Amino acid sequence: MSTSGVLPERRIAEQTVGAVLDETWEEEPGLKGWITTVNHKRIGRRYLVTAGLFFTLSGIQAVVLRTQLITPNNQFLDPEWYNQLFTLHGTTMIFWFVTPMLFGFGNFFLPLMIGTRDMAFPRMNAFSYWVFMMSGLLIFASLPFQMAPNAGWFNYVPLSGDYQQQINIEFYTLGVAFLGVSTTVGAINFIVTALKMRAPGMSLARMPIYVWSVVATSFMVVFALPPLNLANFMLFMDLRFGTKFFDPAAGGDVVLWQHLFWLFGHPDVYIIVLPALGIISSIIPTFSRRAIMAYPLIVFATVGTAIIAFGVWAHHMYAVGLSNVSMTFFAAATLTITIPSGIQMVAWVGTMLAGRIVITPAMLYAFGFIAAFMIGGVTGVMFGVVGFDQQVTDSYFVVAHFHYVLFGGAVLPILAGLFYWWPKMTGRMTSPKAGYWSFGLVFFGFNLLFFPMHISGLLGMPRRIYTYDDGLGWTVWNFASTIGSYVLGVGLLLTLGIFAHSLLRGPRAPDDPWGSNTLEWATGSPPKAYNFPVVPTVHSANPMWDGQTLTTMETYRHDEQRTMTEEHMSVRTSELDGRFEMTMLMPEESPLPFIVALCILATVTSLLFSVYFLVGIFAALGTAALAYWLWHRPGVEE
Amino acid sequence: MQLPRRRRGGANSAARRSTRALACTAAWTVLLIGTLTACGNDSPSTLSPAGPKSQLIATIWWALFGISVLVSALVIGAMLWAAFFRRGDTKVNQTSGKGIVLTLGAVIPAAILIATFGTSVGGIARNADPPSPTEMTIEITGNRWWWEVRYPEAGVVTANEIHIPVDTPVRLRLETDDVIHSFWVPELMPKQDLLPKRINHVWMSADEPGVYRGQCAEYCGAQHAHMAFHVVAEPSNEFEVWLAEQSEPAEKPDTELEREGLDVLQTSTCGTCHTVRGTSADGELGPDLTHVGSRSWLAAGAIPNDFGHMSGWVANSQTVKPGNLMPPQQLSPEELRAVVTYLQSLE
Amino acid sequence: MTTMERRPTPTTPERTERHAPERPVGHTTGYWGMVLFICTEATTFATFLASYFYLRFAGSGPWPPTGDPLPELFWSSLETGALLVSVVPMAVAVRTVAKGRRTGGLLMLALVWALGAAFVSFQIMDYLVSYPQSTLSSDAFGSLYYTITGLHTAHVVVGLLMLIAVIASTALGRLGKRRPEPVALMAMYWYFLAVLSLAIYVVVYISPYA
Repeated sequence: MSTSGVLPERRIAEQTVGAVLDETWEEEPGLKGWITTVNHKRIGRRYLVTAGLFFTLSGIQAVVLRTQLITPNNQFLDPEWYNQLFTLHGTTMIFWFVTPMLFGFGNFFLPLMIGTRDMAFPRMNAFSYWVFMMSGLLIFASLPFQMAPNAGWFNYVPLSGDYQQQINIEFYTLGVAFLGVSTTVGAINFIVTALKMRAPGMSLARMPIYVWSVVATSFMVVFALPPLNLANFMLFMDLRFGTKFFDPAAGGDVVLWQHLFWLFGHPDVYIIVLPALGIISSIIPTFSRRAIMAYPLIVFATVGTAIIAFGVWAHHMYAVGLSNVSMTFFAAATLTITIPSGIQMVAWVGTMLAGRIVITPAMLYAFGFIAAFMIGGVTGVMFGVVGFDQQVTDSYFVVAHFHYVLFGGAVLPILAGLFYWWPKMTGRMTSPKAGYWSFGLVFFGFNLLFFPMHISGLLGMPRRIYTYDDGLGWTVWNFASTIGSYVLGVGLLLTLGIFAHSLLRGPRAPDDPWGSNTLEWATGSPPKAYNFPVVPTVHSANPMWDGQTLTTMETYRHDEQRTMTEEHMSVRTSELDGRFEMTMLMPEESPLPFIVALCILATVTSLLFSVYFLVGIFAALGTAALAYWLWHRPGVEE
Repeated sequence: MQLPRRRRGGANSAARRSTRALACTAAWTVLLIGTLTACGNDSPSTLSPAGPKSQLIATIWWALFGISVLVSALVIGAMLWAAFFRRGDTKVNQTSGKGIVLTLGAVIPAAILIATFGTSVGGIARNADPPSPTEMTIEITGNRWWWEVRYPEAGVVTANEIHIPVDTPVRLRLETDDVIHSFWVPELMPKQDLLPKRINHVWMSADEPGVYRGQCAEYCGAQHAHMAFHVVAEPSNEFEVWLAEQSEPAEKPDTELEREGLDVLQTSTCGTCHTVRGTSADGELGPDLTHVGSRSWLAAGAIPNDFGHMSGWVANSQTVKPGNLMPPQQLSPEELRAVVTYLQSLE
Repeated sequence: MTTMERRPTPTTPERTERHAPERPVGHTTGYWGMVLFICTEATTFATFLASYFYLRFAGSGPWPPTGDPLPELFWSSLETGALLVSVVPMAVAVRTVAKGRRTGGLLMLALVWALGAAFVSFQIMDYLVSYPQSTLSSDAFGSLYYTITGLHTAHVVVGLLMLIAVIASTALGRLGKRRPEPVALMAMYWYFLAVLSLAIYVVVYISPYA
């Protein structure tokens, strides 16, 4: 092993073709290159940074909310501010932070893990990012003008109908629909990349679990987002053009919104959690020094979750007055969906027990995740008991539950993933000792913040109240929660500091600092623009450990079908077996994704403020740009 | 050819400290749960049930809680055991372990879940119908942000205070005039939503006389936080007396000041929104005030009902409950004193 | 390290497969992209049609709720027929373009375009002439009727724009024997629109009679 930490196989491959590839894959420098790039790693990093920024903004909102609740009858916030803040907190955390953050990891690591050079549709990928970023700016811009959505993140009609200022709700309907474009395009991109672009030899049975989880999530996005978009479309039409979808006086129905929303909303929980579980399934084998237990069962569990998730939505609606038959059905489905999670939980703990544990910050976060997800899981099972659900739904108990699932089940894995993959993304190591402090503070703060909410909920405290009276037994628990939010804030700031310090002062990272099992560690730290100088042949589900896969990078270094030195090209393989089909040309960088996204932003903003002639102009411009984009496709000879 | 690779795994002492912190946190959370049962009686707690529905659910909760603690402790304990006692840095054998994962991760949970499902269905069945047939229906209508309570047989209309005879199941007819609200009395019954144009019927019963606090549980706009109500369960003879009193029109004013107050009520804008049966005030937008003096709370549980609080409320309710639908009243201090004195006398 | 520099002679079985055949094998990324796009579009419309029945049966009252007349079937039958028929020239066009017969392909594509344009015109006739009694904002029935058919017609209009690009590309020789795929992708989308029009016809126009 050389001192610089470069894998010998990669070193040899780079020596053979690296220089040519560097030239072929070189990107334009400066601002122009920044706007036109289609490199999945740069886009992935951008996703992570932008989503991280939105997380910070949304987290600050949460701390402000908790500060209002620190004492009974506090006057820190007036109700209108409180209601806008909690609505925006939920909306942005769900839509503009967790999913994009996990899409960021997916963007960066999915192509690396499957041994390819870029996403299937690189320019679409850039487009998804720009749409995500611009829609995020749009939704956050509503807050300073007190125009933020204020009907809760699930935006129930008729409260979101005629009972609020229209502009606040339209920021929600249009903003979420605008973002939906990005999420859908991104999801399709992930699926096609994972289906068609795996390195030769990577049959589906050898695909890393993380990739499985991103694919399962993406399939869920494809089928779950339409009901949400439809509901938002209907509500927008009701508000703006007087349709009567949700007006009971004219044949509409308010519960339709709830069905459509939760038909999206519950799958969305798994859209958020599945990739996070995938991160955990990447980290645990590495630091348990053995392959994950029961790989096929975990894959079944992942896919099973994605399917069953579409049959549980009405457990959010047990208090609405559904028939006993439908409540029974949804209770059964709700309980069933815990079985896949149980399988994964046992597989993780089993992997640890059967392996040899190496403690790192990433692994500590994985431990923390298991504890938190376990608690969030058992309280989740409780919601399958209809009577108990009716008792605690819409109380702080449910707030505690879903923060254990979403913070414990998604944010802790995200932090684990950041510590784990940071050396690969930046080429710098982080300080392990500081990492332990980060985990300690975050985990303690998280529990102090959310655990007491179980209790205040059981004591009858409803959610979404901007204040409460003393003497109801809630005071002490709210005080504890608020202190917890401060501790958590400090922990997250420390974590940010660790990463900043690593960027400036961190020691150089080797190719494979942790001794991991998946292909992303076969690239440089950070990876070159072309990822793999030679696309390897994958021999097992743990390619870094099988002793054969890496050797193929050396073996095929003179094979033009594996090095593809002349143009932006990538290997295309068959969907199931990963058999080589052909090499295919990939698009070059382009400003069009940015331009089209900008046109959509302008269209949505004009629509929001009812300037219809501008809507027409910008929509036409966007269509023209899109047509130009599709006209100039790679591989077209004029 | 497999190449030896450098492994990182140092800093074990620091790791141990962190793991210990983790263990401490776990212990601390268990302590918190322990204090749950010791909570004061003034909480509207789901765990101090006073009616058959909440009683059943509380029992189910404790069973669920016990199993949950057991299962979580097993899983988290196994994980901590691995974290403490399975340290090492050598690659180990790569058995799949499918059988054990299937058994522990699917078969055993399935058994527990089937039992849970039985509980769930049993709970639905048992709470669907009251133990004895209901004789009385109370109509409850949600409004932003207060509750209208009607006893149609007795012709009683009141607000935010629901009297029921103890040990007697009553039927509730739930509906809303505006947005969705949710009716929740943690000690007596779980939530039931109030929806526009969809009427929900539920039943409720209290085992012990007492005052039980309820609150709207579905976010309903600016003053969702101040949409509480109280259920007063009392022996049936007391309840009958209360019902009879409430069905009377408003009491005639006794003193000069009260008469002035009635004048103010009838000549100012009060009557646009409020009804006081027996006077010219017959508005239907706000709560019925015919017997407002008999209630313990004002503004849906936001403030206690006494002279001072009511004066503040009538003068400018926006300072008490910002965003509520009652505009500030342009009354002179004398008029205010008179009208509040009159309203306080309406028992 | 220099010992590693020798040129390898791989013997793995996939070695023989790696020599790409002249004609591409397997589905392309574009194919899967279109399949998934159609999936998400189809789910949108499926949810919309499900919402139609939800609103119809959630209330116990009559349908249409405020006593609108039942939909007229003349123009709607014509438009649905036009779009369904257009599937045939579309399928022929995919084959002829792939075989490199440019004129025949263009002719077929133009026929598809004409039928699509007829669909849009008939839909507008349906709005203007035969069914003016109910409006978008009169009741839930009107809202559903106009938005479902409107959304679908908007999709057909987008399809017509795409078709113009395909026709132009074929005429310029950018599409043809060497690169037939975009025509096939266009056709997939067009088939989807045709099948959808039948579903909408059944739900929006026929089902109120039941």
